[in-house]
Amino acid sequence: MSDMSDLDRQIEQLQRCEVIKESEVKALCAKAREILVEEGNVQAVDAPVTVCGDIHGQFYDLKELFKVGGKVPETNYLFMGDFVDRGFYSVETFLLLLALKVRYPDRITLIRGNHESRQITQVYGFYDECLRKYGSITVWRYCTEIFDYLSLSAIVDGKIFCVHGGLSPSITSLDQIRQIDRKQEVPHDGPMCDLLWSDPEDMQGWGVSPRGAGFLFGSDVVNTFCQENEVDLICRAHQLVMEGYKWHFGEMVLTVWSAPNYCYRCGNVAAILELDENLKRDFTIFEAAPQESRGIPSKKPQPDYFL
Amino acid sequence: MADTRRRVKLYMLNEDRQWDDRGTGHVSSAYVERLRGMSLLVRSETDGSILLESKIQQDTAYQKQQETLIVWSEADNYDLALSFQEKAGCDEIWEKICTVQGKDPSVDITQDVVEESEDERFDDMPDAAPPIELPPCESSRLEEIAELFSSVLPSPIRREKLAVAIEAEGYIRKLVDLFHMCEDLENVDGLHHLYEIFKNIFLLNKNALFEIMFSDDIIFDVIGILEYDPTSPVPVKHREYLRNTAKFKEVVPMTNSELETKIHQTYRVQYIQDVILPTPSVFEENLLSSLTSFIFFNKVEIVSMIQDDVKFLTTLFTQLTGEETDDNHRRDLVLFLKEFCTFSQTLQQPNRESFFKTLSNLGILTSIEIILGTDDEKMKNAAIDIFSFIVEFSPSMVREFILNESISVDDEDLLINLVIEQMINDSDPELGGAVQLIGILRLLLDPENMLATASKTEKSEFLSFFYKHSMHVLTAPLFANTADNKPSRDDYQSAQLLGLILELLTFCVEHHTYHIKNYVINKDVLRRVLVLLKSRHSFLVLCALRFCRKIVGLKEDFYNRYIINENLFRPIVDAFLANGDRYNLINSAMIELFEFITSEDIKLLRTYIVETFQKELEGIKYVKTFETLKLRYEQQREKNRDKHPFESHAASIVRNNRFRRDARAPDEDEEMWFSQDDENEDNDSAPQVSELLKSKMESDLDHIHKLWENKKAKENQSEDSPPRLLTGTKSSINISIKTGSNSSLSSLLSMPDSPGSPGSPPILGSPESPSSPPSSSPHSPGRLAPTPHTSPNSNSNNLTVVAGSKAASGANNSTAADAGAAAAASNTEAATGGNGSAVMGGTVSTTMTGGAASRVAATVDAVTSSVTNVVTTKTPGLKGLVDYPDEDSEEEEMEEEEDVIAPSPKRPRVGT
Repeated sequence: MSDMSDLDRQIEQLQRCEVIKESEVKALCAKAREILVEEGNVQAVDAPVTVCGDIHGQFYDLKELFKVGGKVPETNYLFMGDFVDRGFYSVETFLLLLALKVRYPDRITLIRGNHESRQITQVYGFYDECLRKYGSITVWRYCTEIFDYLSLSAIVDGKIFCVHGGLSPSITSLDQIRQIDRKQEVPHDGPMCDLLWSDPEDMQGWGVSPRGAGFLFGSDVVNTFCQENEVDLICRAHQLVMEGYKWHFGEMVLTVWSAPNYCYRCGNVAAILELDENLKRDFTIFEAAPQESRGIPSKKPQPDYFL
Repeated sequence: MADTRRRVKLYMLNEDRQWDDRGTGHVSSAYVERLRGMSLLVRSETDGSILLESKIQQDTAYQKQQETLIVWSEADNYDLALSFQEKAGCDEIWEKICTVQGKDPSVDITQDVVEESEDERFDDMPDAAPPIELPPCESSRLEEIAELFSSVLPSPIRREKLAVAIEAEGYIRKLVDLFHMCEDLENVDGLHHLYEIFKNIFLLNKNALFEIMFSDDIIFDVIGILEYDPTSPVPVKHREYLRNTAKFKEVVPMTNSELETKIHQTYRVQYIQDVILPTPSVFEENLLSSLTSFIFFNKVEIVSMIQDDVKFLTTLFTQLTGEETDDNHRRDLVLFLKEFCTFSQTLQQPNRESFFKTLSNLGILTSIEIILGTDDEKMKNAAIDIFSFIVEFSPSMVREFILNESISVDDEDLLINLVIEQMINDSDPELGGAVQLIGILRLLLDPENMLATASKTEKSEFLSFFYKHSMHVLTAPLFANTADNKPSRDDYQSAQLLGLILELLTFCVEHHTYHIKNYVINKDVLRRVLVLLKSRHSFLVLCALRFCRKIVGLKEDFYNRYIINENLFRPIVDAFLANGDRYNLINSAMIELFEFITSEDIKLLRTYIVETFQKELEGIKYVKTFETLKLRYEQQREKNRDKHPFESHAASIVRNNRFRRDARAPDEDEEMWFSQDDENEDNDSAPQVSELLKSKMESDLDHIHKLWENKKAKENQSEDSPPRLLTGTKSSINISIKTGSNSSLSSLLSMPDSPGSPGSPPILGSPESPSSPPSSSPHSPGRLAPTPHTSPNSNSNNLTVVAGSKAASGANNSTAADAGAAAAASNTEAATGGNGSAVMGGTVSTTMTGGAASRVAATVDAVTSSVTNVVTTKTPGLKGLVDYPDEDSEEEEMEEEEDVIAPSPKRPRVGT
């Protein structure tokens, strides 16, 4: 009981963009782990659900997203990864989503993006942010451990396949995804890597990805995959689209992007995809929150010094 | 990976229209606030300085050439080019440029080139920019001054000129005077302007200006100015904090006043950077680079000054370990040392080395040991941090200490065991400390960072030491908790600890092939680990499964036999079935394990699983894994039936005393494992080879000894003594491997057909070496023995090792490593036509056909089959000699007698 009220307090605190204590992060991660470990690599999700793309630490824009999309638990959410890096508030963003996940496990689904990785976060900001906000990398360690437990994809009502990046030449059926032991750092190649890194491309077959990981996949690949698995649509994120969402190959593949004015400078709008109980699609476009405050300097000085 | 991708050379076109190399570095694109736009940045790889900072203008024509070159003009005749090491990097940057300009990245030029218009901005040209005149420093002009400063920022040239003017006119001190006035008069507007002015002075990023601002007499005023941030409703009392809250603790009196001043300054500047200045974002990390370097170099100076103060440090260490030292003071001393080590991170490599040497000579590791023996948690944590610094910097130094210590210290007082116990007894319910300690242990146990120089073999020495003196301490919680059929304690904290221990053991399986193999088999570790599959903590179940998966991943039949004989898939299948159809991580990890066995064609396990668990597994249809597994099994059985109509395959599986084939090439000589041929149904003759080699072996060992003795010039080892394996000389033999053939062996392993370099010592020569008599190679025993290795790295030299090791083990209780040494030596002699080779070569050639020998050099598979063919033609009957008394057969037999935990006296290797 007190657990729940603790959690509610932490959620409130995080919603004000204030970080929670290191020990609270650890406990939160432990609880999240128990929940995530029970999820499948292709997590089954029921409609109605609102599908969201990259967030990238843009905390105030995430709040904007909840403003236009509805609060948890009133609205069900599926976030397709890339919660961290680049924005100023990766810590608050990820911890808020994780706390919501622990509080309302059936109302919110988090799947892994290519940025939910030790390697990538060391380059693109999350690592430094943890170090700055907590004075040590412990929180980064806790979070990256949880990344390993995040599901790789989701399927809404058996019909809409949601994944951060896209398809993999090593995967023709959803069952093959089941065979992945996902509890690991995102590998440099192989099916798990591809799911998180690939992009659709106007072409036939498979192409080399300029990203250096994953593949480019063409319309024929998508056709085959959808037929084989009786899937109507592949919904993914991973690529900035100025209009917030973008269709590929007719209406076979959809990119959803949920970080408005990406990196606080790209000038794009963001979108979320709302699927009702009949999987009818409705997009909501939203813009960046008003100029984010830079937040209070969070690094606490050490009062005693020897040197 | 991004390292080489973003590596570029920067070129600039000079007056002679030639490209000058302006340095090599890494390019990035980022938003630079000062330039108000996305910019290209090149940071030098040599000194980290900024080679290029160029805003991507909307109208600049960028051109991509030859896939790795981006060329453009900056201002009028300021032509620049970035030459990328990799096309991918060029493409990335090109995409960035195109994004900014709103172009499709498929173009090769982003703008139509037009004649440069007359109104080009001249002020970016160095000579065109006028000097900056500063307004008189008066409070009425503060607004004007603030505006001027911020207007200057976008242009690098004008920033430069402004900095020069500020310094030349002593402007900072004048502004500080104004600040006093404004603060006295509570002139809030003036104070806000001053804040803006000083913020911009920081952004000028000039070290000369920092020197002025941070001088002892005005640094508090500068900090005072920074309290008046117009965006914050009330001034933050930084000065008060620094004066009253922050405390400098002088643990040992400092005689050097310059040092003390520097320490205060550094703390305050660090405070400015961390607390006062806005949080740096990813986009402006270059903004305050000079401030960062200012702090950095201060720290370097502080560390050097203290390090040179012998008296100071001696006093410090005397007090640190002195019995009469008050505990509070001791704690401060440890905290001082920790900070000292943190600061030392700024030192360059050679200086850091001398830093840690200094500390080491003063006895830092002994001090840590003493502190870990106390009850003060805070002090212990700090000691662990210090220990972590040392291990990270030089694991070898710590290993050396531990090894030396083991001569005189009881096991339980060994530093490493104290560390392990500290980990096991971590009082933090979340085991924060244990996580750190396991990381330290991993570093110490990582063969990758162990030295294998001519004079020592750290790896074999240290690992032998660790498995003898410390492994049982590490695994104690595992054994304590798995004595029964289910975990005796399954609380969260125990589970966490076991998870950490399993992670380290998994690491060992991956990296210490030889020692861990012995350990796992002798202590029946896998069975114990698999008890944890019954834990209610899924993460621990996954850790246990992963440990098993890592073992299976090695594809070594030695392990596989152990698994089969002990029926260790029983708990796995049970756990799998208990999990039911739930599609969760455990389910996926389980399927992945079975899928691996299926797709990697691990026949032993496949047969075992199908024959043992078919009924239980055949109902699982949601993946094809089990269906395929069974199908493959049946296909194989068909094949076998055709081949060996009289042999029951199932019976063959559990047969113990067979040759087996090792799937992996041994990575290190000392970790060479005896190998046997598995897949071949009849292998009785291979022992013949080893038997024949037996006589050869002793001379080989002598040869190795000689080599080693020459190098080490150590006490003479009697040459006619049999391999001395049970005593201290064991390690010396290991050393001989390293000295004699470590590098050579590994180079041979990796280059199967490389001709020996003419300049290399004879021992390096491969059989194909030009220096070796051609006639010797076909007779090289190594080429004829069955190879256990199917990795592409394996080659005829591996075969030699195998043969040698068999000989060694057949003759005595030598370790695998020692046998490897013998093998290496025999190979060498065969290749170089040494004395012993005539005997051996002759023998071998009667055993093997020339055809088989010649095929050895072909692909490994070919090696396998050809050898197999030869082998199967040999007369059986020497089986007894093949058995490896200290290895699988007896062990397995023993395990069958369920006497697995007690070390066998027959296997001195285990105990020593």
